[in-house]
Amino acid sequence: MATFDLIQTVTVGAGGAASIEFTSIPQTYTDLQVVASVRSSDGGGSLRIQPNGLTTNLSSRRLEGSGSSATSVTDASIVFVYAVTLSQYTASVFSNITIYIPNYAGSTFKSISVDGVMENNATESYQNLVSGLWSNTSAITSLTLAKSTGNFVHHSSASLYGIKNT
Amino acid sequence: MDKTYEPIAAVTANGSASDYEFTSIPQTYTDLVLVIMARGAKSATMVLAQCYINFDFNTNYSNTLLRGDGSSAFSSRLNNSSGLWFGRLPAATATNGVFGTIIANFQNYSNATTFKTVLSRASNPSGELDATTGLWRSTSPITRIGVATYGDGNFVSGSTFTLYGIRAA
Repeated sequence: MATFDLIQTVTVGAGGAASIEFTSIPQTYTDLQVVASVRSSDGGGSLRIQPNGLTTNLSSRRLEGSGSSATSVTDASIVFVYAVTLSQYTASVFSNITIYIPNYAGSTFKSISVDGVMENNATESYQNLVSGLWSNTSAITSLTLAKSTGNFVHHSSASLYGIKNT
Repeated sequence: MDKTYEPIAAVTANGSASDYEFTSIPQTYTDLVLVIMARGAKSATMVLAQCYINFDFNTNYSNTLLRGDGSSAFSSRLNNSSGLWFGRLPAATATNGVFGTIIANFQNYSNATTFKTVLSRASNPSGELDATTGLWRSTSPITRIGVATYGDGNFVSGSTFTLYGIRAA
């Protein structure tokens, strides 16, 4: 049996979608990884990660590069990733975002590690490294990637993989 | 279809050790990935997790670090180090229940021609996050990988260390 299994892929249809959701996540893996290719319908480049669809007990720290400076910020109540390609950026460019969640089915708080980058044929574009925390001991059974404003555009996609350590 | 991402070994800490090592690593993969979910037992907010290769504790390593702590970003270099920096994990006085995550990639680990490079990402949700590039100045194939706090206390019970092998074909 493979140890790096595709659980589900979600592709956004015509008209876009404000969120991408994985439901009924099997509890049989050790870790989860999401690989997303997404673009925004508006000038907002953020997405929020919501385990079990919840918006509470979340926090994160970001390391962000814009092409001209590097900053680090704390987001006290969300797991926030600023890496969704903006609508005004170069056409047809979708961002790459990887989300890693170890021990998602366990009883500890859940650590969420994110690497994301949008690209733009111009002087400005953003890269984000994020360390997120869901201070909840429940197993993760669903996972939502929600736009803060606007939608994910048509052809945006995200795949959820399960990883086993045995 | 052949497996291309396989677990080689997994260890769960029992709280009594500050050092975990994978030995006799098969030389049949293209790359290695080490995934760590851990917390330090020392009475501190954070402890540094470092990596050593082939039981080499000499000054054959160098590191470039990019770090964000939630308020500022900075980068630093360390030459002639005795280990690879992986990042600082939450420890005993950090928020209860928080474990850090480290994902490290060892490319072309089994060749006997080039020095070995390592890319690692550390996420400490209660502290800081690191992106590190490391170099081990040896042409020897990697057969052993260790993770240690270098005398900075044990890893708490429940910490996990898993080594995966990736085949390109």
